[in-house]
Amino acid sequence: MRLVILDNYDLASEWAAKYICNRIIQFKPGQDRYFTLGLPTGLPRNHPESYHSYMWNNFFKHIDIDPNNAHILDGNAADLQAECDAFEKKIKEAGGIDLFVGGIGPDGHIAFNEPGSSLVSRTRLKTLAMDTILANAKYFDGDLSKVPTMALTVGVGTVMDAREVMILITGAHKAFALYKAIEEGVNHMWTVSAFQQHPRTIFVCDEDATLELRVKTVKYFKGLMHVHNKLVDPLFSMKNGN
Amino acid sequence: EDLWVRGGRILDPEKLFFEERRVADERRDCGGRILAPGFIDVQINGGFGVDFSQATEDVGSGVALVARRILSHGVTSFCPTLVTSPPEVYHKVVPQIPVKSGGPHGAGVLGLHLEGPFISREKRGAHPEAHLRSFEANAFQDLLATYGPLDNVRIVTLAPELGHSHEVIRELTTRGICVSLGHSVADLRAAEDAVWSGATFITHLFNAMLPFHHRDPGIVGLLTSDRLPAGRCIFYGMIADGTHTNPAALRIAHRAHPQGLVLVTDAIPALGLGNGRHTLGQQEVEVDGLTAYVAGEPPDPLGPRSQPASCPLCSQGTKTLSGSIAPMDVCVRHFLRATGCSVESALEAASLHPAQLLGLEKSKGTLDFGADADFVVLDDSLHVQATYISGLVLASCGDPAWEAPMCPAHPISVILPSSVSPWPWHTPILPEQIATVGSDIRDWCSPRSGVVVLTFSPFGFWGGWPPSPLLMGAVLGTGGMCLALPLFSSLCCKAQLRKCLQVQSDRMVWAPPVGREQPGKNHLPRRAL
Repeated sequence: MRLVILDNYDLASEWAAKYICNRIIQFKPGQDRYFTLGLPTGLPRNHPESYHSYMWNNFFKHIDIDPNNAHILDGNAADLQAECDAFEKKIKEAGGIDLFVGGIGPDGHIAFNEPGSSLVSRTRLKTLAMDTILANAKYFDGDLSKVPTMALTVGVGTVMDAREVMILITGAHKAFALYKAIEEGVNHMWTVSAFQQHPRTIFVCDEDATLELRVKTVKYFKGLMHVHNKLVDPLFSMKNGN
Repeated sequence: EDLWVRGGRILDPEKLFFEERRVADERRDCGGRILAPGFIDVQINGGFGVDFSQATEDVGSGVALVARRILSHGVTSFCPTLVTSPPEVYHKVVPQIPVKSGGPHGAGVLGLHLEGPFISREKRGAHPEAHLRSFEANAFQDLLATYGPLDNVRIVTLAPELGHSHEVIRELTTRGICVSLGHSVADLRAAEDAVWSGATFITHLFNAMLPFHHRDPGIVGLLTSDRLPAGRCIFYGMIADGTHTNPAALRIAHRAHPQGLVLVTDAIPALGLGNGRHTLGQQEVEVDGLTAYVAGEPPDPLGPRSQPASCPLCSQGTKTLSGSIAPMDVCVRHFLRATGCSVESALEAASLHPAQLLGLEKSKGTLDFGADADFVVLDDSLHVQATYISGLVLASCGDPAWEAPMCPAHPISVILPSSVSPWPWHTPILPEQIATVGSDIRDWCSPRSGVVVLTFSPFGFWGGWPPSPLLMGAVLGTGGMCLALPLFSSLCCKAQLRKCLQVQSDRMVWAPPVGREQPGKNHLPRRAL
């Protein structure tokens, strides 16, 4: 596991973005596919809070991706289980995920795999925990009744199948989850801890997220920053990529 | 932020992305220029030698000429204005100027603006005294008798102190015609009553009305009146050419009520022509630089600002302003400089506010999804670089990047009339009749028909077409083509409608509707500069 600690949210985001850039360049994309995350069900596609809108406004709008290569779980599908299975199939057909980028919840969940989710689960429909609903309430004008209670999500097992995993953790409210994820054992109550058993994981976090970690851990990984920074060095990818 | 256009309207690209899974067929890069909604001019008396108030046999071609020429000023829609004229003129001219959408032929006509003859004698300005009228006992019937049928009329300027004006205002408002107060000596009370009856606009604020007085602000006081109907925004036209209003007065009005300011040109036929004598309705005017005066008055050696523009006590020997010859983009630049407002405000005053005045803010004056794709590309100093109507570039500043589409695979793909001949007998090709020629011709055709539809203008090929042998070779090279009659143009029209244009710009000026702009939410507001 690599733990990359940056000073603040903006620097952490920038580091992550540069890393993704480098990975894409190194990969020499031709048939590369990157999959995005789960979707709160029950919302029409053009609802401002649906993941379609979110991904469009924050990502797809700014890049020149072929729309046929953008796959988002459709929460309005008639048969949700079939939709999930089809999604898994699409991942397999694309050759698997090369880099999975995700965040973490305050309760240690990855995607919408709430505490208690199986660590070998696949894409499925999940009922959201109260914590998650509260966290998402801000997107629905603070009205809890408007927040969807179910979500389609990739499973922990699905993410473990990715060749590389990058988790972004920023903010003091995530600090305890980070502690549980990397300094305690693998536990289905903190589903992110499953990535301790993944061969290539990177956790990118800011100073606030390290508040619950041992000083020894933080010092160790900070000491490795010179190695980590090489990963985002633009020359690095061109040297290796050619 | 990019602007996406399809079928002449602005498209929501999210649907295109997720549902149709398509990218743009054509891309234009604004190169860092400003993208803004097209300007709307609600008071323009003519231009380029054309006088809308002249009852000629072919009024339509005069309007068409002005409509084409003002494209280079960034105006995409306008209201041709008729000054005070005898009833015969109205009966002859009004039916000849119908409401018309903009397109390759020129800017769109939103309807007529009839300024007078029901105006005040003292404040007639350049309007001829002989043809002024007041409402007789039959008020609205009298108006109908003067103007004729009102189908093509959009705005009427009248003086509210005339008797029976309130019934007239009410009647006009119920017919959807915008009533404007102007050329009047009304006090504030009369003006407020007129607004309660339905008036929504003030014609060229400060000009042809009583000056602001601290105990009776007159019509100018409407800007800050608290006795107006709730929620009603009073709009006011300003001629920001540097002459009609002192910049200090312009600033006062702007600061008092910025949301209601509508930039108008009040342009006269001399617009675009040089100095000298020209006509305006039944009057003669003299043009000197950027100012126009009623003719027959001796030139003022001290310059235009040394005397008041119109003195109610003696109009002989005073310079009575007579319309303006500043084009719309000059007005916008002057307004920006004089008030020091933001670029967005200046551009809104020329686009969004006139659209709001006419109740067209869903389709004009905005870059919202579903609105008509009428927009302008401006450089940093607000000089118009290109004008688009319904997504077609119609006037551009000689920059070769604007004339041709970006994609090198389509060297002769979309033919647009980039230079329009003023000859009246040269019929421009309508968009439905334009076919695309080139190697990827199948992309543009309806898949069902598989035929190439071509039409030719009556006078041979347009400038920019390839030489004939190459064209014929391309035509023969694809199977199943036919020389089209306009009957087949509908096939092409469908093909034309399906393709979409993406205009890339990160400096788009547009105000999202109230209630949609919510910072911090996932849905990003589109205004940027």
